[in-house]
Amino acid sequence: MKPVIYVMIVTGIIAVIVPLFADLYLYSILTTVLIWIMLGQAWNLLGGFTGQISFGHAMFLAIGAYSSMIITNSLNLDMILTLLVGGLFAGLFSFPLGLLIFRLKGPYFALATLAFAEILHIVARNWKGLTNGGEGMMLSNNATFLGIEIFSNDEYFFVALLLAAIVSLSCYYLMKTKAGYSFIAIRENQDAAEAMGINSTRTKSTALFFSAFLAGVAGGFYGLYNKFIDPEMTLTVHMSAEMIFVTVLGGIGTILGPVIGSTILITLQEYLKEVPMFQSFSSLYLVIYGLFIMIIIVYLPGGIIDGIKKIRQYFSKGGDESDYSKSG
Amino acid sequence: MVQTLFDGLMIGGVYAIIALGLTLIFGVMRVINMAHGEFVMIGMFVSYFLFTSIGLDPFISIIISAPACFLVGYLLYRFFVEKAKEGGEENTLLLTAGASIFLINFMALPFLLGPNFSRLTGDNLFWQNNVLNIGSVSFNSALLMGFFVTGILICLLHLFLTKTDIGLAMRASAQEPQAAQIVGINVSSISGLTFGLGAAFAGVAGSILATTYPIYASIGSLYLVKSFIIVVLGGMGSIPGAAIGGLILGVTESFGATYIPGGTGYRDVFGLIIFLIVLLYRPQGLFGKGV
Amino acid sequence: MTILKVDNLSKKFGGLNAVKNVSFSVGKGEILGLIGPNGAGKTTCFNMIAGVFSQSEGKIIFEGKEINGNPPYVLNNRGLARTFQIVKPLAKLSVFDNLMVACLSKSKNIKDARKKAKEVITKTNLEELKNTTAGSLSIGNLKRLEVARALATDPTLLLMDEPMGGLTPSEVDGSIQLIKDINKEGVTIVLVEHIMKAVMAVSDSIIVLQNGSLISKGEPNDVVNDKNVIKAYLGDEYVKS
Repeated sequence: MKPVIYVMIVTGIIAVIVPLFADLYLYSILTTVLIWIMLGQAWNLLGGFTGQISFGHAMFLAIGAYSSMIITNSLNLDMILTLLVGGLFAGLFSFPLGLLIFRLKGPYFALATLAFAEILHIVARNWKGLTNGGEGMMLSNNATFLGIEIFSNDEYFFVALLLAAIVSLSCYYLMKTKAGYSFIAIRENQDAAEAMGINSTRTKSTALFFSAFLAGVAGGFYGLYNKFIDPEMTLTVHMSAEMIFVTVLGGIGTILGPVIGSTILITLQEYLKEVPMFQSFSSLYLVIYGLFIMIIIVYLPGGIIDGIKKIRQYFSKGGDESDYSKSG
Repeated sequence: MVQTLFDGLMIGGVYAIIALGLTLIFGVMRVINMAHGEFVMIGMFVSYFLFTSIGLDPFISIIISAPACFLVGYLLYRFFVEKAKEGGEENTLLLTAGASIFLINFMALPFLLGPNFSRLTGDNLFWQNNVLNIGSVSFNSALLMGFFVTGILICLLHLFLTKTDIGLAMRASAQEPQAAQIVGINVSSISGLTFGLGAAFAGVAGSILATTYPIYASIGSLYLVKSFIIVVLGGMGSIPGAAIGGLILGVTESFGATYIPGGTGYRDVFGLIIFLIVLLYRPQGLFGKGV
Repeated sequence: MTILKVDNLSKKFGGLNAVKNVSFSVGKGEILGLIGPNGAGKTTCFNMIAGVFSQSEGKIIFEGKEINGNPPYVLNNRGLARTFQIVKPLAKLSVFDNLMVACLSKSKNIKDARKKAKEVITKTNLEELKNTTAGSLSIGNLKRLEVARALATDPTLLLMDEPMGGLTPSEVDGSIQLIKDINKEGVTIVLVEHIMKAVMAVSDSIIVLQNGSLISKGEPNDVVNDKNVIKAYLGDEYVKS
């Protein structure tokens, strides 16, 4: 079945079933899941498919968030436009960044992205003229989507559902293009890729652009949904790390990965927060979360998707067939 | 101005020993330890706990905090880091990031550090509130003692690495793990030892810092960033680099705090920018070999 | 027609003269063998032509245009392909997808690339391993994939860096045949290799390097009987006076 049809069906089913029993609280959890799916897909483009692990992706989220907030407050443009512009700003910012740091290998690249994000964090906290510093920015106009006012949790949920579907499908189809093949080639072996005619710097820049763009779009939505943003909820290492974790848990380098990872991690966090025992020890769920991450990285680095594949291989006569080309 | 200089040197000594642990871990195992700050925090906690329960002087408690951190580091390595290494250097980065979350929140549990700040206060500590004046400069006695402890430890480390068998094994494993294995070195244990040693150093710094600074579960991230800057500046894997880098950072911060007006908010940006410049244009730092 | 002309090529690494004034040319459709004792400068020459680093002195002219430290992907787009001595497969991808990546560099779209990949797979006898993960192949097949990938980029000149290292005798024979087949299609080949059987079997001409200098050049039989070459490889005692 063509993926577009499949996604449309699934999205349609969700859109119909959820309102039957959801309350505002459930809508908010689901919207959060969908936001992190988008963020995970964004990070995954650069980190999972192209193999450049960024530890500072929060900066793209923040650029999108602040842009969207400012544009909506001052120009009251439709959400589609603001999100696109926010994403574009993030994407454009990524160009010089990439050119500067793509010469760095592996962990050094990661550290550089971390440093950049931290610098932006400090700037955001201090540049009151632009970001209102630590006080943050409130949404002063109601956001509209295609003219419809989006205000309550359920309304945001439907927009998020649509966006997440579009983002995921876009990533899927991007990976099927010539560019997508180059991303993976760079990840697997940059020297070999270059010898086959692939311009590694341009390829990485392309991957980074799309990755930053999508993170900016998701960040813009995140800001509009929360109706408030400040540096501490947009530019922390925690945000960058969470994008990585939802992807790694689900399955790095796959399209379903961020979907699965986000669903599990976010609902787990929300569920744990509600359990009485965890309420008295508020950091307990983070203890479990941290341990969980560690165990996955060590014992199941391909994430849950890899785990499912291994179970399937165990029960069938698993050969050496590579379904890497078909996975996604 | 001389006062500012010496203030900077004192805290720089502590930074140096934290960075030393990190550079050891990186130099020998090429692991970027995102949880390094948490070892400092654990050291702080151990000293705090021993002081409040049995009145043990933090400097003496180093005898316990260092091995405690060593143990945590060693276990972390053997059970997690070692296996994560197979997935590549970024994999270990992710793993140690997860370990960081785990450790911070574990120590934030009520029966340990809890969510609040703690401070080590009390009487009968010969260095407590004791300001030593040499010439026109006044020293925080605790940090001064810490400075000497750091100096001694650096010398001991140097002797350890160059004159003992284990030290030699560590250096061999760092340079060529496969060749080291062939000549009978248990690279796995040595790596674990090294990781533990790096953690222990951080723990020592924690004990020293506990004398003067507030203690809370997430304080590690402050020191992590600083030690990264130092390690990159001094050269990853270079011991003199970590030592000198630590002093440089301490002095720079001290002068920055004293003489740059109003830019306190942006102060940390300077360290980060230096970090980026060094990473991009002189990745081997001041003393390191090629990256 | 000369496809590759190397003129007074030199490379210094600090105080080390790795390559000293080497000159040779390769005609279209030829196979040139490049041999010499270890440390002779073969790989350094190879790397300069392949764009890994630039020369200290001298000219490299490929199809009329100069090469001086151009990045490998630029050279590949101009029609120069290379294989790696230590194979570099795209490990997690299937053999077919490895070739897809190579084909995409010259094809206009995915469909054309797929067609070309199927052709190359058949030509290089990798049909049965089409869906196998590259990382799990044996060394013989890895080397074959290495050649197939280079071939898939439609080169006019193919540089091969010790493609037979680690192969069994029958695999060497297979490799010799593959090289001949590729050459028949019109691809010019420069082959760096130690396995003399292969060099003798495929080369139209051979050049010999020693200590960075070119000590012999010509047809295989002449070179093999050249006193300087025998001295370089085997030592004085073997030179028949």
